[in-house]
Amino acid sequence: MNMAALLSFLHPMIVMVICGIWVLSILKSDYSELVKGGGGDAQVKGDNN
Amino acid sequence: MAVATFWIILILVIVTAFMVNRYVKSSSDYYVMGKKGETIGITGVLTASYLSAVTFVGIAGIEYLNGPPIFLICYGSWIGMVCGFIYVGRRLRAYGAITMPDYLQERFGTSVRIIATVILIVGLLGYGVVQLMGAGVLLSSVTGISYNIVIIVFAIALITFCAVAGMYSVVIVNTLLLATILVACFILAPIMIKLGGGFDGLTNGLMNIDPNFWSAGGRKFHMPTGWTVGQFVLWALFFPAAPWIAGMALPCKNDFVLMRAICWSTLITTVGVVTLFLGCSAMFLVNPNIAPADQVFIWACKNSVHPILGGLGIAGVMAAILSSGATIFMGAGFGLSRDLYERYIMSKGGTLDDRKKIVLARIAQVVVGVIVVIFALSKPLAIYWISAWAGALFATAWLPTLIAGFEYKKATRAGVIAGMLCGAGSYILLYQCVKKWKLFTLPFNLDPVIFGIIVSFVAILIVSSLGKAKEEDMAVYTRVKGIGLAEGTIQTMTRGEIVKEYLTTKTTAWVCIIVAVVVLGLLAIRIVPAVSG
Repeated sequence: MNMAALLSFLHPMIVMVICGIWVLSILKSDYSELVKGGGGDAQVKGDNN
Repeated sequence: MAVATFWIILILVIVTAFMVNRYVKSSSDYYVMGKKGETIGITGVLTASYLSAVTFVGIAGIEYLNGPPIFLICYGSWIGMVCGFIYVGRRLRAYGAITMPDYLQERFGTSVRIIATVILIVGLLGYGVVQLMGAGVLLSSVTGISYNIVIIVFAIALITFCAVAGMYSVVIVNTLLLATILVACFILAPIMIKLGGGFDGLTNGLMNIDPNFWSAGGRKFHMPTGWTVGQFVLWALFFPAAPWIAGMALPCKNDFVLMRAICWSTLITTVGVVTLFLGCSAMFLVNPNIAPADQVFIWACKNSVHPILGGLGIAGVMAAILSSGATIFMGAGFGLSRDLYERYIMSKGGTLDDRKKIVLARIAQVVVGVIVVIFALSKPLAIYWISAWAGALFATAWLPTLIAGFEYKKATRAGVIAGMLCGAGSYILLYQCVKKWKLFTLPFNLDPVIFGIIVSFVAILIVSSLGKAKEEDMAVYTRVKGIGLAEGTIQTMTRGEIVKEYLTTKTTAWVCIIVAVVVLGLLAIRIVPAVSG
């Protein structure tokens, strides 16, 4: 197996996967509870109206 | 064709800048587009800023002579861009910064901000001069117009479009220019691969000439493994602190725009750069005698495709040069006007209304432009030294300072100043000893910037541990740490809007992952077995 050739394609692929998973983890940690209807103390726009 | 493309692009850029000028009504509009940047605009400006002339000219030539792996393996700027945008940019945006030094003023006070801003301006000016001189040499040889005229005309276009509408014109113009970059990567590069014999040419064709075409060190350069590792680390650490990457998070309308923009930009730059470099390598099979080699892409545009497509390809190269130059000019100009002069006036008890701030920012852009043009035309010896250090200054001085600000509560002002000065100073000293004076070599051929970063972190830790952080600095750390990075977005959107944006962003992330895995996976399946064994 030519590792240099394999890494040439694996490297950019892994970067895109890391980026996507990072974004998905932010969505899960910071927004998923709000989206599900919870959200604890988080105050969305219009909550005071 | 090349001359017409040159003038059309410059006129388009200037006209567009004047057209968007009407949107600039406040200094916030000028500096960060009023924080109204949408996904397409931020994707455009981030991608176009990332892909500079270095990609289409310098590294493209290295790929042509050495084969695809030499830079595809060590292209650490991909992960650097992701970290710069999500880790650094997202924090700066959430903390309400208008420019990068804004955060340092809040966290560590005036002295740190001034030193960091001076380093920022010197680094950006050095980098800007390099970009402009590179553009001058390249476009002069392509168009036949003299170097001095190219420099002056190009700089006038850059100054105009940065000064007229600030971030507005940079985002909108770069988004328009992105179209030509996409043509270069996704239409022209595949045509270049086909001209070189398609996958068979890329694999068997290149391997028959020299098996080292598919080696990590390259066919011609035979670079050692230490160089590959060093280059990867260098770019991966340089980009997170590069103002033209993290700074592009500041105009984002909200957190979701920021996340979608980095997904699309990462997809375009990873798949696009791989395709581009495969195309440049394939051109060796079409003509192995292109000289200078770094004009391989332009040679292909002029000699191998339909003139209209070739013109678009050359426009893509110009777009890459213009977009990187613009974000660099803008960063230096903003540093001069907002982070030095405006702050100085305010510290003296003076006030500036919004109109004056915009005028000031425009004057700063012109000053920066004139300085860069003078350097680019006169080419003083010192500029070669400054330009050699320019990029590394961000990695050695800014990156450790930003990380200390985000993560190290007990970091003192003296500690971060020592970190910046020791990091930048040790890098410059090592660079001169190793690369200029050839006094010794570093272990594994690693780049001096890696040692500069280590020295900077060590200096921050040691000096901070010798003193005590100011209560006000630790209070800012605690307050800032307590700000949820999503809080600003949540407070400005209704629950319904959040749900919609959440689902769109989640879909975007998955689509980008799947497209990258499928496209790059198919390329790997098609190419790797054919060049193994």
